[in-house]
Amino acid sequence: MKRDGWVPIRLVWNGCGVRDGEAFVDWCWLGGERFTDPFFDGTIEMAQRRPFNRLFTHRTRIAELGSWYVASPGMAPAGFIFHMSRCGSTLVSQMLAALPENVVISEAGPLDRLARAESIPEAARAEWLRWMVSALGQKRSGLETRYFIKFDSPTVLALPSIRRAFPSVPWIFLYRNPEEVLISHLREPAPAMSPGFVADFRAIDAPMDEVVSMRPEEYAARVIGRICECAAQGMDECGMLVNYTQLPEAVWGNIARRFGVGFSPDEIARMRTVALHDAKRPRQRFQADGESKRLEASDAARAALARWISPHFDELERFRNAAGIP
Amino acid sequence: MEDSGLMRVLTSAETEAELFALVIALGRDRGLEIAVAQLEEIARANRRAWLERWLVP
Repeated sequence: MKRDGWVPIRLVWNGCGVRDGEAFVDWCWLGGERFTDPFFDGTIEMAQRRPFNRLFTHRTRIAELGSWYVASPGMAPAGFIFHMSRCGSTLVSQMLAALPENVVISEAGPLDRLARAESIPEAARAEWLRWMVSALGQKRSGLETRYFIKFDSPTVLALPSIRRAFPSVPWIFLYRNPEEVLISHLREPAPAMSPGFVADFRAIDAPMDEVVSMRPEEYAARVIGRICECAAQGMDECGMLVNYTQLPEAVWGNIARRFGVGFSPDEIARMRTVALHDAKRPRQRFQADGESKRLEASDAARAALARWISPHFDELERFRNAAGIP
Repeated sequence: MEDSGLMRVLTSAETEAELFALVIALGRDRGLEIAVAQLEEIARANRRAWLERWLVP
């Protein structure tokens, strides 16, 4: 079936998903619209409000993704962006999305969910991941030449599987002063930082009754620590660590070099303009809030951070410094 | 979806009422009787599936 203008927006499966036909994809019509919102869901939410999608959003077997992959292979990703959360990753994706030559998929639910679906056998998951990445990386305007994917922060737990499915795609892991990240989550917890809220991933190897009785500081610190640990463990020749302090310049510097792309002075100027605004609330000017977050940290937060995050954060910093990338 | 002309017509509808009227008329041209209630049910189910996208399965 002709799928120009359609995008997969949800993945549904029953059972273990071994046999084709147990997994399904919901499709939404996006036409020539670009992904410019801070997150995939924002762009799809707007599309879902169109009368057409209210009636014609529909479900197919996952094999339809495979057919579309064969009939219309999408662009090859130039780079994957993994992150610690609340660390400037949305700034990076928004800077990239400012250029019409770039397709930027930011935390697409069906892709992250598929990547984390450990119940699907590795070979099938790798194939489906390639189909999904292809479907999301279709050219819409004809101007596109580069394709970037930012994953949801917990998806770094699936880094080894993603690397096996896309062994040649360069990737980065973004991270930030963990005190600032932890306080951000204590102020406004992301779903992954609330026990049981994101049902398809388990960052903490502990019984659920123990998990739900944890203090918020401990739970968030353990999840953030696990995310950093997975990034450090997965570091390979295609990976690069980027500290928040290196932004925004790293986007057209180290990150661009790692991804094998180049930006013209005009493109850099446009990306610099994006960096002046709050990435998640683009109508607001950016205001540095690191100091206020650090001042807000309670003793309990500092203790949780020291125990669960610092060892992994320190290791990331050691790796980055050893790589000699400024 | 294979018919780009039909897609153009349907995607150009600016309101749900306009789309429903179009679908009913186009269906009738093709010998299909479609009720507004059926379309409302599809729209409701689609909206619900999107809002519940994080729920398992």
